[in-house]
Amino acid sequence: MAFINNAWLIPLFPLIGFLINGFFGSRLDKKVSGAIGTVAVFAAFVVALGVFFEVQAHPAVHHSVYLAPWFVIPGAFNASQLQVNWELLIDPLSALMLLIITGIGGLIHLYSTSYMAGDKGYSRFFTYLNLFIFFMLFLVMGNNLVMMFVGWEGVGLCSYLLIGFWYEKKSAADAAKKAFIVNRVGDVGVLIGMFIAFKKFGTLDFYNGFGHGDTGVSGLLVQAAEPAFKALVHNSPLVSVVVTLLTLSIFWGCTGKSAQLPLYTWLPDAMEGPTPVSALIHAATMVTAGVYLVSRMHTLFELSEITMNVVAVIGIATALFAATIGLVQNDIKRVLAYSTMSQLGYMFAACGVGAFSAGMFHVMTHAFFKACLFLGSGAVIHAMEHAIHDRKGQHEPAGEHGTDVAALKAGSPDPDDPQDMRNMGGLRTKLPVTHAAMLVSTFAIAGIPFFSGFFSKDEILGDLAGRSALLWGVGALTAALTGFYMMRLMYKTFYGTSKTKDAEHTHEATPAVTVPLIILGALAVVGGYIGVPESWEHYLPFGRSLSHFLSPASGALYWTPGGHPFLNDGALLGISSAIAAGFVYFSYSSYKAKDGRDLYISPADKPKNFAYQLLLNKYYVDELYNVVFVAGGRRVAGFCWKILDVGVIDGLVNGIGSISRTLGGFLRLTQTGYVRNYAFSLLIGALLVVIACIAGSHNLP
Amino acid sequence: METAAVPLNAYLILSGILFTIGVIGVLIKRNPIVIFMCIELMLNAVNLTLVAFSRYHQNLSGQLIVIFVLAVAAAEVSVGLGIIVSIFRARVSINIDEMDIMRG
Repeated sequence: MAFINNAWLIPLFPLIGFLINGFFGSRLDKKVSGAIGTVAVFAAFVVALGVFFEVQAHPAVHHSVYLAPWFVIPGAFNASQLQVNWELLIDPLSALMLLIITGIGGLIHLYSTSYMAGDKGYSRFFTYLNLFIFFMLFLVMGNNLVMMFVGWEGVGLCSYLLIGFWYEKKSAADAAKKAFIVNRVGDVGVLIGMFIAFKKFGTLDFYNGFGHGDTGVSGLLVQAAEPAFKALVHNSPLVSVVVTLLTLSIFWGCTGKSAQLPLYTWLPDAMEGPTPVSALIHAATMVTAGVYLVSRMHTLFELSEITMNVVAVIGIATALFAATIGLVQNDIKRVLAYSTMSQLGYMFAACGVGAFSAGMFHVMTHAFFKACLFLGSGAVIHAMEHAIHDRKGQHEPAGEHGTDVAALKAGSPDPDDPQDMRNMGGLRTKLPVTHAAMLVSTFAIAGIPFFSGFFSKDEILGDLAGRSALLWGVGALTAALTGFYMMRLMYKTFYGTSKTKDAEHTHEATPAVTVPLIILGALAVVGGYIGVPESWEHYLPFGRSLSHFLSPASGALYWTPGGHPFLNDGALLGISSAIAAGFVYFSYSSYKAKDGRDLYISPADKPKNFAYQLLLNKYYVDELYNVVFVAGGRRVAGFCWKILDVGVIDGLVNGIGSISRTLGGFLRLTQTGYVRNYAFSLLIGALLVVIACIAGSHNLP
Repeated sequence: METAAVPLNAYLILSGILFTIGVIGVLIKRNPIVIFMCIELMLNAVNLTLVAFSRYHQNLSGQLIVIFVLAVAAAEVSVGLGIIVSIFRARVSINIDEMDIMRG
């Protein structure tokens, strides 16, 4: 238990890295600053590995590590006492997340040491990155909803800081604000969920925390797993409604954090941040916090069929929605952003049918291949940027350009945009390692057999099929589109002819960049072999080890995912492999055929004009939100400002001042300076006293 | 002399009239020395009242108070005349209507 009892070391290392880089970063040499940040996370990874092996020995046991008391709110008005402690929860689910966060986080820190080398905010970057890792670890290790929420808000903050890292650029600052505000809208849901949980269960702890003996209240998940509670939910409509409201509120928070419909609009804009940020936060870790929370609270979610249906439907709808938008985007990072949204939709769809462990499996494989894709795209963008700088012959501040909207409307890509795929092409020979890593990750995400994504996506599709053919159908369609647009991305970037001279002058990146790519690419290939389908378990001894590992923590209690599939496993596997391979090949051959044609085809000339424009402009959802919410909010704010703040409150304060002044003006008139006036007032006062004495004396004559 | 004692009211009415004359003098006169004389008049009117009561009720306290009042009046006059002299030295006129630099 040595590692588990000292699991508080895991968040401590990144916190120390944050403090050192935060206070002394500007004075440290760049190499030292980067090294401190990276070593902190790798140290945390080592401890996380130790924790993992200890947990793995007994996966059915969950460990609460008590650290210190935090606060107690005494009970009043029929409410029970609320006791919240600093307590860590180490069980298979959190151990898995710890490895993902620290492992992939460490690789991304290593990548950033080279990627951000030209930036003047280098140590600030590592400060924020370490702070993010700290908060994310806090999120997954807390034994109660309050600690989880602290981490939840903290990663939202770090996301804001990192998206707006190049704060001098207006689009980046706007994107950061948008991300934070949309997240906040979601957080209201988590808070309401916490309130309901406390009211119903009397505690906010997941499992029995320290000091629970004093209040006699078991943890949330312990109470929810009691058969008596399940019977209560079944028999009492009121309790059932309460549980549904609780889980729906929490899920609302998850739509915000994990970019599902309707609170997803911040994720594509978040690509304004540096690429390592996109890889870490918006692919591997922060956005998966929602999936983690749903899996953590799976006992409660399972008790409400309505919520499970909502989760599944929103998940799979988001998956399809995002895949359609990703088909036509021209900015390489935007395609990956929509792809992330789509894969997150799969994870939620899995949770919605009771396959929480499958959802977490996809979190893991997605972390591998998506981080690899983002880091690879970063290498491509850097290479293009260097070529563009060399062409321009002048030093430009290191910063990634957003898509130039004006040029987009005109139809042709901005030649100075290193992220626009229409300026790339033929990079396979120039960036071989990047190409190889991204190619295997593309196969993984498309679900080509034997890569990691195949196993995780297939398990999800199988579980969807077990619930409804419609869910499976949408999932399969999304898989087809995924294969298509990812291969489109690969083709436009790496194959064919170079579309600009810049693309011909690119070169491979430094080892600090390529080594993480190779490691992540390798994981994208082999990472799936711990979650193979049940029928294969017999051939591969560790084949189902992930499922066995996770089932005590996040295995469904009351639902049987994959229960009644409309086709048997083998047929489903065959169909999805065919879809994946087929659409990848279809994409490759279509783009190959188009390669020779004109370079810049104006969107106005494209056939299917309306559909293309609809997808290119992301279904105009941002514009809709602007009209409905932003404009209304601005009017409310204007009212509060002009009428309430300036008019009422300032008026009140100024009014008191002017009353004092007027009163003073009157009273000043008594100060005449004439002695005789003063003598007269003395006389009047004396007379009044005499009258008062006589009147009060009872001896009137 | 003992057969027709002077009634108490006579003394009180007399001191009341003297006091009123003093008050009117303080309010109307412009010369500070005259104002002081009127203040002395008020004080002596009160002395008269006190002695009358003391004699009437056969109680010596009233006469004791008068001794104190006389002493205080003397001290007050000395201070007050000192102030008037210094004002006269600073500005020749001692018309109190012109002493209004404390005007707000």
